[in-house]
Amino acid sequence: MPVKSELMNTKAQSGSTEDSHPPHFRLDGRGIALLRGQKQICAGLDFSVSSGEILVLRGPNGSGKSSLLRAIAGFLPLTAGQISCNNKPFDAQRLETPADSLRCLWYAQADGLAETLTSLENLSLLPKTAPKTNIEAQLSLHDPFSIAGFLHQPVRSLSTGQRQRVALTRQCFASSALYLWLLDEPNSGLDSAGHKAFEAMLATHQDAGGLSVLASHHLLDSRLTPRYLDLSDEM
Amino acid sequence: MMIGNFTLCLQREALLGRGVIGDHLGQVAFFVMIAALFPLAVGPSPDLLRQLGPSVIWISALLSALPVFDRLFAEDDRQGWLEQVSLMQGGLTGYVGARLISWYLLSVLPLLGITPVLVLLYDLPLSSLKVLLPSLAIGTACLNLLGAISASLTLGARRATLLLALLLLPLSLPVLIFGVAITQSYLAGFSFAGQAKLLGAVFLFLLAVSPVATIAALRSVLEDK
Repeated sequence: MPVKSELMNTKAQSGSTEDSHPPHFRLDGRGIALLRGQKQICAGLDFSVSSGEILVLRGPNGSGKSSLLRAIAGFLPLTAGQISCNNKPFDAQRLETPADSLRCLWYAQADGLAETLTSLENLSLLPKTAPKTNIEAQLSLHDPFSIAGFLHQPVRSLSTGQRQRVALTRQCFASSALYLWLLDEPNSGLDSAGHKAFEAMLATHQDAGGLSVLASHHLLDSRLTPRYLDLSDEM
Repeated sequence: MMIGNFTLCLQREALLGRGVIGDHLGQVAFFVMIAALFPLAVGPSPDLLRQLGPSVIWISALLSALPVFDRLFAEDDRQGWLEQVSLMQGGLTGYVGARLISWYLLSVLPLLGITPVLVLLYDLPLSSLKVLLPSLAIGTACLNLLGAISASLTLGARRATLLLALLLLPLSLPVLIFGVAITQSYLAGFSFAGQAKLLGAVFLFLLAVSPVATIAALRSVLEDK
């Protein structure tokens, strides 16, 4: 069994180096219904997003934006319908996936940063990234959310906006065609410079062929060609 | 494979460990205090204390673990780390494994370190340490495994600490009974192999069951958010 998985790994690696085409993914949701507590929050909802696309979920508070994101990530079970990736059932929480399949990256207000650790330590706790020094070096070259000033401060001492910038910087390190970004209100507390940086970050991910689904009350720059899904119409 | 997530979580635990050492030292102080209360309450008769010694040490170890157990997953749940790990290769499995290992090291090692003092306090022969310490090491591992189930089940509940104690105390009875019996048999000069095997069996059973139950409970916590 280990031999087999090793073979599959090398196959996947050689595959990705031989043809330079990034993998193409199409995520489809069909007839999705969700319950939150006892309350039905959406029914018969369809959506689709492909590599290089940005889907923005819109709607008033309580319309089910976050719940839909949680459902895509597999936290909230669907009461009806299904989510598929390239026509195969999609499960974001499979324990082991082949190297070339789609993985989710989650961002929400509970951002996963440990409050007692510094920003840099938090950033070093990323899957598949190099140790500390490397992240620092990378940030000195390109620091999209200008977090250099509080890199060595514990996250606890940061303001909400600063914290959000650290969490979004973490997102930048996983900008590739293999990632589906699930962002719950990522730009709600950002200042205008932060919002620009956020749009630039989305553009980079998009250019790399990545997928993004975000819940937001803000409109995005039309150059990103986002598609909007209005959830208030559904009910 | 699963290793990626597991080592990542271990690294995180190592970084976080510095910040929570205070909590666990408090736990050790609590352990000593409970044990020190008994002589004051039951009177200073050396024979009585010698007889009570092993039971008191075990009960103190059990009680001192309770007030900190609700912190096992609470911070990671509140800060959104559970969502992050469940989407990584390895998922909650690697996380729960790393978390339990670090929790065990942080909470049990100091407790074992202070136990010789209690042995002296209760005038038990120092040679009893060679039975008491290993049995406590395995017994507290059992308690941690039970605590992981209870902590994940009560996560986010109101009065989680109280609920957790009510869940954990009855479940830990077998551990307490076999654990105390080992040292008592040794002190009475009998063989303690039977009790030791039973304690080992409880440990192996919990080692198999607890992570599965804990992960299932954590999943349902994520569902309800």
